[in-house]
Amino acid sequence: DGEADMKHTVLSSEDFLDQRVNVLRRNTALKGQVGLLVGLRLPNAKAERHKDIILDLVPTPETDGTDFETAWAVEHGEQVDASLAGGIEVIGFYLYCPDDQFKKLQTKVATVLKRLNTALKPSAPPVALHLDARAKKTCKSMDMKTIELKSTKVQNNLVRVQSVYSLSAFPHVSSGGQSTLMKELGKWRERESARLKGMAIKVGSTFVDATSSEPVIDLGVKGGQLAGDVAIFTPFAKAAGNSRSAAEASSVHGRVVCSSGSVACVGYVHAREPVSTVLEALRMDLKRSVKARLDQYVDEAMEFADEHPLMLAQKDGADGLETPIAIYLPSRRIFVKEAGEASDFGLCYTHYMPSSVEGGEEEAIEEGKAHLEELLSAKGLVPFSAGAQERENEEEEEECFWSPLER
Amino acid sequence: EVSAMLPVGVGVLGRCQARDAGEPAWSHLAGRGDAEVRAVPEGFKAERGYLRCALDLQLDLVFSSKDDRAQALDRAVEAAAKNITGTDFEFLYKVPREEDDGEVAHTSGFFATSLNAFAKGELSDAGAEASALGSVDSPLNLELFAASSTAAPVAPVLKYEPTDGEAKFECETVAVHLDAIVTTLRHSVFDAGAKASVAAKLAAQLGAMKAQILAFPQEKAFKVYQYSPAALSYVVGIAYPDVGSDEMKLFKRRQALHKKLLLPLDRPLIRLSNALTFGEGSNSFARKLTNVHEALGPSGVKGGTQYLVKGTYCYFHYMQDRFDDAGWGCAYRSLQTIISWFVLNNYVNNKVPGHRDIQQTLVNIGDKPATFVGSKQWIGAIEISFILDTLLDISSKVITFNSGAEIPTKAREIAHHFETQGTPIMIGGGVLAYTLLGIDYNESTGECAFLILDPHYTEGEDIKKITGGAWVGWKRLGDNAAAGGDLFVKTAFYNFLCPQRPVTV
Repeated sequence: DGEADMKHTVLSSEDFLDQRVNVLRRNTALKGQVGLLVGLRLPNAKAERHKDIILDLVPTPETDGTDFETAWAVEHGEQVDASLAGGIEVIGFYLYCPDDQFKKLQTKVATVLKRLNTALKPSAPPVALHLDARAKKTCKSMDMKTIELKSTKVQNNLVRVQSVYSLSAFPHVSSGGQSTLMKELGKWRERESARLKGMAIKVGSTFVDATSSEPVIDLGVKGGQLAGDVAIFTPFAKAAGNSRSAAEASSVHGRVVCSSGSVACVGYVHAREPVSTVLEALRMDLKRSVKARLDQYVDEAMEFADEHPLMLAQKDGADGLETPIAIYLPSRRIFVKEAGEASDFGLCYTHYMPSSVEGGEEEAIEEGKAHLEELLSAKGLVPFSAGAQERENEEEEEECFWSPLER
Repeated sequence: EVSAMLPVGVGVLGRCQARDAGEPAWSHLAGRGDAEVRAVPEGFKAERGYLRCALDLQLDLVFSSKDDRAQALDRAVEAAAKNITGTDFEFLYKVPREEDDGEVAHTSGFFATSLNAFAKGELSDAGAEASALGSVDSPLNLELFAASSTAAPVAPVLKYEPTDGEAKFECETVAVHLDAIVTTLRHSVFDAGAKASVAAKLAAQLGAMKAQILAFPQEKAFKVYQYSPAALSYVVGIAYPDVGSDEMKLFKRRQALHKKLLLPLDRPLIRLSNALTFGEGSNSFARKLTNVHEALGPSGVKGGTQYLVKGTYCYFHYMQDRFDDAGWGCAYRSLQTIISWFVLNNYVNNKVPGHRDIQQTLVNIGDKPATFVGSKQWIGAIEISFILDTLLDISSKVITFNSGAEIPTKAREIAHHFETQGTPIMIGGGVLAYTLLGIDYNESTGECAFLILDPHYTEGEDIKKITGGAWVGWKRLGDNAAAGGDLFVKTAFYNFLCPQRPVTV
């Protein structure tokens, strides 16, 4: 089986995996199954030892047993990753199949892990989990060395955190040669990521920053959630346009302004880990959320091509830099899996509402449910009801030119 | 302009008018009539503490022609100031503490209490170091944090707005470092009013920065530097372009500020190198002692007046920096002490040269042959004057004595040097070189003692050993040197090299 990897341990609730295997075994028509491992990563920088907690198994859609396409498995991994809450990652790939079949597929599995590692850049290398009908469970590293798989209690240790975060409203001048509208949007995303460095939070009246070391449970946990309200603070200098170096004059194209945007953020941490992990989870969620919204907007633009404002703007002869445009980024809808017989942990998954969805709230919920049920190959998703849902921006934002000489 | 330079908690209150005879007259600035001025009560200074809030910003100056640069600056400053005064801040403090393993960690939190809370240990993690917090040299550092809205979340809208019309615009980015000092009573709480005052001071500094940005169009970085010159009883924040070591670029501005702040015009007090560092940056004289003479008792001269070195110097002596110059390096060490005075009193920015650099300089100017470098050859007062002139552009005068016995006869001249120049004197001649730091002189009786700093000391930086062994001490003609033998050989020729302090700001 190869030498054990001493630096990586995978934890799981034994009940959770057993019940999942039972469901698979009862489906006698099933030849096998492959999919993604979703879970919580516990950092331990000093010991350089990774610990992962498996929280969900997400089957790869459109596969026939264990006959899967590597590229599709990785693409599915990217889509699922974008839907995860902060602190939760795609931590690997699983196969439900007999032992001899797994041995034949090891090379292919190793390829999937390597490509997931490249595509998702996770905080630790992904792992493989092999399950068979006799409830045998084996974990392997990216290079197929055996990894220790241990049981742990998950339910009472998984804590959800959530808050609201204001994107910077400070206008940013777009200047310098060789730019495009798409590049300016990419720079906006980088600026928002940079703002999150040095972030601090208050949980109730308790201050938390990256050096805070007391365990999460000391802050108070109720019903699997932090008891106090979480307020986010960012260093002011980063908001006030501190994103470029002092420089000689360069030509100005225009400016980028975020005219509204207090976005929801949600994450998960382990109750015994330091409270600084709350900060890390929310930061991860915000970075992911900004990227996912922008990616979806651009993907939609490419799908609608000539009818989409972004594509029309880019045909202005200046790669979009001479056309005013208001970019309505998709709103975030959060859903949870209802507790079923598979002892799910009530993880949140995110759907970003496409602009094509018309109608009211009910239509939006149905659309979101349908999308996630297909992505996760799951049933029974319901809207997350704890006040984190974003509403659409209903105000008509005027697309206009900027007069730099006006105050 | 002066008001913008003052810390939060200090303001211009009144004016003083000199009268031909008697005490000057004080009146309120607001024209409320005469004012009574009293001395501050004892303990006043100890009751005051200091906070510091620095903020780094970039200003984007957008203009269609260079002629519009000033208006572009106005627009950028107005927008930034509005952002500062319009934001509801939290002020984050970070107090360093040393962990058991020697690593430095920080205790952080949002500041809404008093400085006394640190000293009393109410902020329990802050530790013993916190009680030193809040002095002018070590203010409590605060960083501005902005809170995210707690309103219901709504999907973001990004707008891209191209520039209007046919005109082409350029953007020049200027980096600005603001630095607000707050002086406050240690027991007072840092409340909403205090927060608003800090924000207002930062905005005021930004406004005051405009004149500098316009006056130095080639510079792209500007900072507020804080100063605490002895002539002032308060800290002042002065905006300068960040010109690094090129201090002479700012000479005219400093001259004008010296006049405005009523500072003496004959010594540097508000150069960039004079600025308070608040413990940041490296100390080039770390692990060396300064002003070792201050640990001494009286000289023993009855009815004398002491004329001493002014300002700070560093004690250089044999064997320092693991360089063995015992037996030959005494004059080199005296020179290093003198150079340290010019550095520490902000006349120059130079690194103190080592023995080899000193020797190479003498070779470069043609005073010594190439074989001099790396040798153990002595140098004297004349060579030292060459070095001071070449490396620091400092001139010197020499007082010559035909014999050691003659030295006390020129006590008045020596006293005059310390009174007017205040620089350390290098004593050359005889057998051994010393540094003279002062004289205690009774003009009526002629009795005098000399404050000698002896570079022949070979041990570590231990003030008790240095003073106990008379390596710094009051000596008279006829006394022995610390290493043994006559301090001044009565029959030997002596040169007292007296470096001349540049009259400059």
